Amino acid sequence: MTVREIEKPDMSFTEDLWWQKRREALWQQYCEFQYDGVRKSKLKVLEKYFFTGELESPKDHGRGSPGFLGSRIDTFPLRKPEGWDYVIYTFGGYDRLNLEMKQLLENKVLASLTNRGWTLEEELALWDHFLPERYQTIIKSPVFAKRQQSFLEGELHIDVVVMHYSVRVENILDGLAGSSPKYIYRPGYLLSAIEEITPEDISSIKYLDKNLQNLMKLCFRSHDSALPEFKYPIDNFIREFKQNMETLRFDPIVKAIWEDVKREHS
Amino acid sequence: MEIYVTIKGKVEPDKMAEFNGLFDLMVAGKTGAALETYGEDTFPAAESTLEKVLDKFEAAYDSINLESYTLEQGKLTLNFMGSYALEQILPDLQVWLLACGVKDVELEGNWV
Repeated sequence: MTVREIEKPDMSFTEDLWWQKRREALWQQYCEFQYDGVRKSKLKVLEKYFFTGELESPKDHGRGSPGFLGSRIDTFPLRKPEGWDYVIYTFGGYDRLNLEMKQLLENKVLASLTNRGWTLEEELALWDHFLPERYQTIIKSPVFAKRQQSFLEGELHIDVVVMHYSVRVENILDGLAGSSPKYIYRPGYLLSAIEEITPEDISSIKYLDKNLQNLMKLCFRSHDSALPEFKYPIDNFIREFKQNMETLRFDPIVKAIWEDVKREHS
Repeated sequence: MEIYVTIKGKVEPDKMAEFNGLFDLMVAGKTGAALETYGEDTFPAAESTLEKVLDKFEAAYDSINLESYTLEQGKLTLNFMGSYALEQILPDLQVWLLACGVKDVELEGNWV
């Protein structure tokens, strides 16, 4: 199969002074929280990439490590599918441990990026670009990586999905401003993951039952502390979750956990 | 294995503010560019020795981990936590502190 060359997207917006000014403020945030242990010489290279998407000598700046691809996507100036495809094509496929896709999914796509200056729209676009509508254990990259001449693959385990939802939905109900609300806009993905849970998963995966139970309990919590802009979406999320817990076909062990939680709150 | 190391020394009273600034950065984990810049500006004579320390930590995929410090009436106590890398880099760390102007530097190691 011939690999289609992916050109660098139009980056002319990076020359806009207003964009640069906003990007500068975000850069200071990254220096404070993400790059506080990074030395000056490396920081210069990361800064250039942050503002232009050009990475000098990638080999000397983390290429080959599992977190490299996720970091390149996180800090690429263009937060759009064509930008992420270019990053996968250009920087993907170098991790010898073959964990880069898994780390990208767990630490960026499914993680909260609000404190890294990502808007809700950008976060949801990233989610939709990498995750299918329904949960699957193996996720393929949307495009080939030039280095491997193939798609990248990564495993995404159910417990990771449940854990992210459990923690973040709780954050939203607590009214934490720094936590991403993206999860409540994708209830279907969570429900499809729960549909896949087996008794073996419950008995063998540490904390899966606890996180699942916590998530279910959240459906019965007050929404009073949620930030006003999220009260309506969290209502919708919880309504849809509750309805589907009654109608979808889950393993009896999952149903039993749900029934216990309902009984506790009746 | 984790290594806890205490380094003690003495600091000229009129230099305490500069040292507080330095160790506050380190305790906050700002051991990259911020530490380098502060070191260059405040302790220029120790610039190359700091670079050597940071180079060595970097080569070991590690970083300086200053857990806590006290600096009262010129008496300095630094509490580091680390691993094998810290043990190897300790002599350079002491040289750097001396170059910054810390006197009577001595190790009080708690090796766990």
